[in-house]
Amino acid sequence: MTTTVKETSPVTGRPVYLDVQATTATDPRVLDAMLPYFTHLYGNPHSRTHSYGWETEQHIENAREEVRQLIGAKDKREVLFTSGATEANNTIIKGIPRFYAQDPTSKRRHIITTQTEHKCVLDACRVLETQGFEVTYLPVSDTGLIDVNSLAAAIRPGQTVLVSVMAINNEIGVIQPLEQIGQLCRKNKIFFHTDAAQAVGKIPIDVEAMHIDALSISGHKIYGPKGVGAMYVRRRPRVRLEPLMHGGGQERGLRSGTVPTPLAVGLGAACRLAREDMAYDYAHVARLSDRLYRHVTAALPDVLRNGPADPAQHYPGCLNLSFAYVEGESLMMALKEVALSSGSACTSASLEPSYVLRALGRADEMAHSSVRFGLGRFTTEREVDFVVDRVIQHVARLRDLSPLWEMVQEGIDLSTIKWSDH
Amino acid sequence: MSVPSRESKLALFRALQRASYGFASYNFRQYALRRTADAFRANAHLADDAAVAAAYQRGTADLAMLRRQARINAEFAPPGYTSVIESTPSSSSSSSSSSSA
Ligand SMILES: Cc1ncc(COP(=O)(O)O)c(C=O)c1O
Repeated sequence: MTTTVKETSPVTGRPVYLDVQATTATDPRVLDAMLPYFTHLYGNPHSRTHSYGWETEQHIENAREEVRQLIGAKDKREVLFTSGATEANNTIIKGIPRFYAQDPTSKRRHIITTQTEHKCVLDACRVLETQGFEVTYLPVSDTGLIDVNSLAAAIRPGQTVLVSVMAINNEIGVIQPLEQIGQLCRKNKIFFHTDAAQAVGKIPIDVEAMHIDALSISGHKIYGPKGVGAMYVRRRPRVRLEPLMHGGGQERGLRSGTVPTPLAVGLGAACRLAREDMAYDYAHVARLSDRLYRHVTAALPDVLRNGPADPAQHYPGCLNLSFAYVEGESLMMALKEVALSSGSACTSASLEPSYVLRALGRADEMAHSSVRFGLGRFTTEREVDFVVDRVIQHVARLRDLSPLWEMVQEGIDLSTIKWSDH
Repeated sequence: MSVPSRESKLALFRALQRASYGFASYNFRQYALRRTADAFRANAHLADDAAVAAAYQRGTADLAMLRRQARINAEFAPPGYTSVIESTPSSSSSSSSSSSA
């Protein structure tokens, strides 16, 4: 077979994959569930006049039920398939405020979100700002948590229509206090949306207990296929939204377009596996994360964790570390044998320090020296040990080359130094 | 459903392990080995006959799936796509024995 795969360095083999927040490998069990829909079962699930449509519709409904169970929704009709979390976020964040602002006299034109949301949430909010809506971007603490009291203070009675706070941050793994936010929103009759792309399937999410009104899911973050996701939109109390896609009226009219059967079935299979093995996967990831952190920090001084240390507030599969006096970019270049990122895939092409780390109040140097270690279901202990070994070796080497590190070793307090402007 | 004998349970375990080795991808192979071992360890405590029989039946279905998927994984493996872990002799301070199982 002639493939067009780029030759990386063929002698050394493929790098260890520690970038599961960007995307995950499709689980072979998921692929196994999907394949029949590429071979035999190609019917349009919306065809009502023959068995081709009936059989695929049945399997899509089974997949919808799997998603429902994973997030604790009451009714599977509250689950709608999309092309991913980006589409779910856009549909919800634009759609809910627009629906409730249809009446020109409506005052409900205020949205609250946070400074550390994923780009697709922030950009959707920017669009709303150009269309007569107001958005409050809440700051976060130095561990990335929002303060529920500040959220309460930001609410404008009669004006705030939507609060959108992500469940787990994709760069630093902080888990926001969803239940408290949900309670606050419910009390104030404000809709609560959470971008749970990194959380669903990794930690327990219950839309009822957490009073979540709308939620976004991505297939490829949970070992499912790329190009599919789902949104949860509550029916009781009813959440209404203006769709982005118009057409055949599929997905209760909220997302027109033929549901891609293989992808929806794949998402369902991924959700079933995530539900059945959540505790098993979590224990594995937590053990490896702890091993990585312990071994790296035992060998290297001045390593700072970005995000909370408390496991109740932090997902261990997203370990973000700053190595003082080392450029994250240089470290990643040196770690050729490891596939890593300093943060989100969409911003890693630029040399700007991450806006998420900046929102934590990290100085630019520390934000620049960060590396995210993403651990998942398929990461092995041997890989972690391999990575620990290389990290220790290269951080030590890069520090030896750093004039700053030398000054620190000589006892010079860098904070007393006047830097020229930059 | 009849209760599987000790021999047939052992045979199923061995077949699952053997099938796991069919994955070309290091990570899928290691996961399949680990998941199989942990599932058998967890199910070793099952006392209820029906539960044992159900677990055995699940394992049998998993075996068919594993064989299919290991084959597909190997068939579609791009050339030269072995993990750096496999092409690096296990050096390093940390022991490389029994990865996580
Ligand atoms: C928190 C978060 N939201 C949304 C997305 C986008 O998801 P998708 O690729 O399914 O559109 C991602 C992944 O990049 C993410 O990490």
